[in-house]
Amino acid sequence: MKNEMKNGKQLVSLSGEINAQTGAECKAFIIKLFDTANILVLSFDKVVYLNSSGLREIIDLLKNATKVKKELRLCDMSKDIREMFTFTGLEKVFKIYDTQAAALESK
Amino acid sequence: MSVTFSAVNDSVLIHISQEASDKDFGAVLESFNNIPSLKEVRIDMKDLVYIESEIQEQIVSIKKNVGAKSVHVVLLNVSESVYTTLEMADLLNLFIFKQDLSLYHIDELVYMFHNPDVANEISVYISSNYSPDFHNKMMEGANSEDSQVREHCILTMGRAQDSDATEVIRQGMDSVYPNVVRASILALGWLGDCESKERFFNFISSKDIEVAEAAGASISLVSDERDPEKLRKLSESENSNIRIIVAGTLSLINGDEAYAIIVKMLEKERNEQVRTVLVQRIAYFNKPDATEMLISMLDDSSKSVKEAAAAGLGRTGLRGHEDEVLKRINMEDVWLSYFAVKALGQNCSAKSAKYLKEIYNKSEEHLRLAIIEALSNAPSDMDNFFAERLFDSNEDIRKVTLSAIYKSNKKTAIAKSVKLLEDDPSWLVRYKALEIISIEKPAGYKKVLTKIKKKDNNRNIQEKIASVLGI
Repeated sequence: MKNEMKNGKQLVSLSGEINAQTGAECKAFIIKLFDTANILVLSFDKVVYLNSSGLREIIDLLKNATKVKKELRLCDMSKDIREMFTFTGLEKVFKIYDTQAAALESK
Repeated sequence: MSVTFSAVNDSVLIHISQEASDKDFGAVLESFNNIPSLKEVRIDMKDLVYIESEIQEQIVSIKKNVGAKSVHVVLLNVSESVYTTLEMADLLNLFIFKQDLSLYHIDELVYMFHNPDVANEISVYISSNYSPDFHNKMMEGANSEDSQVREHCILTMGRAQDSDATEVIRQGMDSVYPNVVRASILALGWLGDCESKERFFNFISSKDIEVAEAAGASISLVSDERDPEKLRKLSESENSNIRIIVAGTLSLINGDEAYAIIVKMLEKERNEQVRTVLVQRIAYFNKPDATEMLISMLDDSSKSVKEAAAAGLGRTGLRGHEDEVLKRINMEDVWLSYFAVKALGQNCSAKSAKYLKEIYNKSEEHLRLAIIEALSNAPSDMDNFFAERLFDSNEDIRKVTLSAIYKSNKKTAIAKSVKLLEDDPSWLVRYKALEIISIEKPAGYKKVLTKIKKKDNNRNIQEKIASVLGI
């Protein structure tokens, strides 16, 4: 996991496998970044595997973000990862952008 | 008043009702003089179903009044019919058009759930701005007899992670309307409502495929270690749709048990569509033997299964099994060879690249195209190989080669594109070159395109250049 400020938004690059354990670590890491920006962009560019436990952690992250009025954006998903969001209907719950540039540029 | 206005800082918001007449605009125009720092005039047109010519004139006069001061005039929430009228009057370029849902009353927003084109957008807006008022309204809507309103209120509460609404959403699963049932199942999955899991399992056998799919999805979101066993029983269903849903659910749950069930399903499955889905889903498991399984599926008699296996190998990587894929490339079985090249190409090693270059000239056209695509991912320099292919007599080879160059080296691709746009005999190749130039916009590209527009008579090229140059 790496993070950097870009365009006034906190960009977090996720990688590898997001499961119950790594998902919980991601969530804890990202929640700590809530104070640094109003919009957090999660790039899935290097995420190869994701399971439902990982998805639950990302949903929980959204819940936490909504509570503190922060916006969560997801981007750079491979076709397979995107398909998981589509299958679960979560593509309509999250703000998903095709590219990092689009997620960072959108107001 | 039929026209109301309010000023906030350096912006004025004007609201026009359907009953407005030109006389109602006098005070509005005067108000602009009282705001020296005016930067933006926003005109809310949400209540205009149609627009009279006298109102059009007033809007244009607002633009004229403030335009000289570089003040933007933004038309908000313009209906399709009003937009068409403005378009016919050639007024579109005078204004900026935007939607501002905050100007709608909560009842108006809920009413808009009847419009499938905007319902999702409304739901996203409400969930992003969720408040006690929105909660109350959604709770009311979730009990509505109107199935569209009920569906979208439930989805909105799910999106907003409104766990206080869980009981009301659960009641939606008893609805006679499949859209309400589906929305309830999805929303409960998003909320992580484990108590509804048994009901989700019942819905997997629903005759309504969308309800069944939602059930599979929500099971995965609330799953625990006991669920793969229940899914194993459903995997034996005679209904192929159920088997497909079960495969999707198992792949999301992941884990050893889910993997073992999917492998077992694949061993027994005879339906080509389900086999294809199972192969796709195997690639979702981070397991070394998933790679071996996918390689063996390249030998399947079905083209779609081979394709899914090749795509899956792109995802899992070859994990030391490169030779097993390489040996499947032979000149007898065209499709096996083709998909083996596809599998290699997505993570093309130097070893694979060397082999693919060696067999290129012995290969038939489809395989050549796959080899060129594969080599665009090669770690070594392919410039000379690609440069030769640009002189191939086959236009598809030249076109795919240009795409491959673009993927591996943008600078070279731009130079080649300019040359090919100028003199390639095939419009397909010229069009690909034009696409690259229009994306990359190299220095002087407008001059190049203007020159080409004068001499290239192909209609597609002409239209594309016109759209790029905005003429």
